[in-house]
Amino acid sequence: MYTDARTLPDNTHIEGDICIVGTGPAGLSIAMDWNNTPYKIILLEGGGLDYDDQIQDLYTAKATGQKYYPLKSTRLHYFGGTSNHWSGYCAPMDPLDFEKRDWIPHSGWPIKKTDLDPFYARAQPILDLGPYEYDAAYWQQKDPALKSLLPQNPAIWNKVWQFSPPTRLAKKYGDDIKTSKNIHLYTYSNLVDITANEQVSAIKQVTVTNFTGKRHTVKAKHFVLACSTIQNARILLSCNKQAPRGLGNDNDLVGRFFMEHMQIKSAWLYLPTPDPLKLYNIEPGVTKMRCELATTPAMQKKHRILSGTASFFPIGIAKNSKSSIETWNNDDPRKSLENFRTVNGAARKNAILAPTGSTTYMLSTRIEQAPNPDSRITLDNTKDPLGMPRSMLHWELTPFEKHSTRKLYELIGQQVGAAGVARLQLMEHFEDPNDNSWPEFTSGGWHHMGTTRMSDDPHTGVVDADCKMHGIANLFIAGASCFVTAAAPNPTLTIVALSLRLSDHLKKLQNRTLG
Amino acid sequence: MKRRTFIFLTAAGTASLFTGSCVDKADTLGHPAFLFQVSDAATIAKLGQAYRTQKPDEAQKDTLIGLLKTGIDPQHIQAEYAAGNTVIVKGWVLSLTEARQCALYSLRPQ
Repeated sequence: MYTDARTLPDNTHIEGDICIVGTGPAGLSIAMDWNNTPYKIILLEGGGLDYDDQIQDLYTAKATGQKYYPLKSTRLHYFGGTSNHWSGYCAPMDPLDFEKRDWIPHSGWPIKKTDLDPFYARAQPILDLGPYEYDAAYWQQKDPALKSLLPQNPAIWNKVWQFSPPTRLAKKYGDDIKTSKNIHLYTYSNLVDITANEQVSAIKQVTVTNFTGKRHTVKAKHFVLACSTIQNARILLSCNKQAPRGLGNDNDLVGRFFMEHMQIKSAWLYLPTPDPLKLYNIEPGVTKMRCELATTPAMQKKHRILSGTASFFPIGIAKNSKSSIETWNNDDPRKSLENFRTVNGAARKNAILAPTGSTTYMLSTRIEQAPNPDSRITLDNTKDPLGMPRSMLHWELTPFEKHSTRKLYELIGQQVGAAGVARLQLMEHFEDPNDNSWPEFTSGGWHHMGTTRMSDDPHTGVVDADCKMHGIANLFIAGASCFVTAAAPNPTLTIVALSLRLSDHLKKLQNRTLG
Repeated sequence: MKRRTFIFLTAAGTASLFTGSCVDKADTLGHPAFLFQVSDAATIAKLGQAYRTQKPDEAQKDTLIGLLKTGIDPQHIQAEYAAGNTVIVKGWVLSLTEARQCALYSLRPQ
């Protein structure tokens, strides 16, 4: 069922079993997991079915620290959320990413990779990916042309990415949801308040509004906040009428540990003879998988570095490409996307690429940001037209990321040398080991993570291992805001897997509280 | 040392290194074969100059020739890479031997 909340009478009371706030990959994955069940699912979307600039403007926010994209443009505020413009890169995190790494402060999830594996497998078809196979050998067996640059070695391995078409979840599931008997989608329902019981130990209802000025309330047995990393923190910090520091923020953790992936051109790889390096290349819309070079767990431990990967761009494309932060520079996400595609599409289109491949490749990094409590979302003094304080981002990096990136390429350089296949040259901005600054063209991956991090201990995390907020019995958080560490992969696959795991947990709870 | 004397001694030293068997030795040792496949002479000379600046105690030809006598074959160089016996010179990740070869190459008469 589908209702535009602007058409409802003012002060409508809505009631269901589970209320999911947000319709991006997290919210829609959970909602669809409950389709055709006897339970009434209330699905709230702040925007409409299509882009609406007045709604999108609610995401406008200031940013300080490391240069960042215009925040209005990085998330989409309508049905389907950011799946409406994501690029489809998917890979699971690795076992080490979940572990406590004594060289990385604040690392360590309360769950293991094996806890997520079954949900990663279930996430694959949702995102229209191939089989849950992330071993390069599986794909090489299917296509012998996918040759590894390096023989097996102790330092560098081929980490597989799969590519979603990319799936636009609203398009994929929109009709199912609109015709569903038990999922009730309400658009133009912006959450502006959360009301808890007197002890602030359970949520009673949420209040939603839109530009008509109408306000509606939603009651449910369980609430899932799935509004994206910045919005989840913003909402919790804003809802402070009963909890002065914000909901779930007794330990001053909500909004902290904001993480991104640094994406930056980093090195040149020189081969003696041309090679298409098919295993590592991507043809947009065609390639189903590719590999990036990644550091092995042993090397991460030995050198006490973060997890990062290197991807390949033939020089013909690289020399005409611009960094994301140079091209994604408009407040309007549609204009930013158009500019990004125009510049990089032209670079690809105009590149003269011999079928035999190139001798020179640019290597580009995607590396996790170390969890940093000072990298954070806070509330601005200004409010949006619906009365919610705007969010503020302070994106703060540490010397750790630069050092780890440099080491990644030193290790790759050593391994291509050891194999006798190539030589590697770090770019100028990585030459000086004492320079910890990041150049202006350092880009993020549009991957926002960490602001409601997961921990068994309420003193070190906002949600527990089941994504339930500490201290509040029926409030759950879905999405990358629950990530403890960022790992190297793009986050969407893990977002969906983690959401499905939360959904399973809610199903277990149904016997006790819903059934 | 007076400037004129210094120039004379330097020139004499350079000439003696690149005469007779020394020419062959320096040419062979100062030729990073793989790097010549992926780069050019000017870049290799610049890498060599940079290495000599980074490692002043390895800035002299006779020192470099002595160090390179232990081996310059591809297997030796690959083993150095595998062992992490590398140095970063102007961003290039080079095996120690290759870096020294570049340094020796950079001392050739231009």
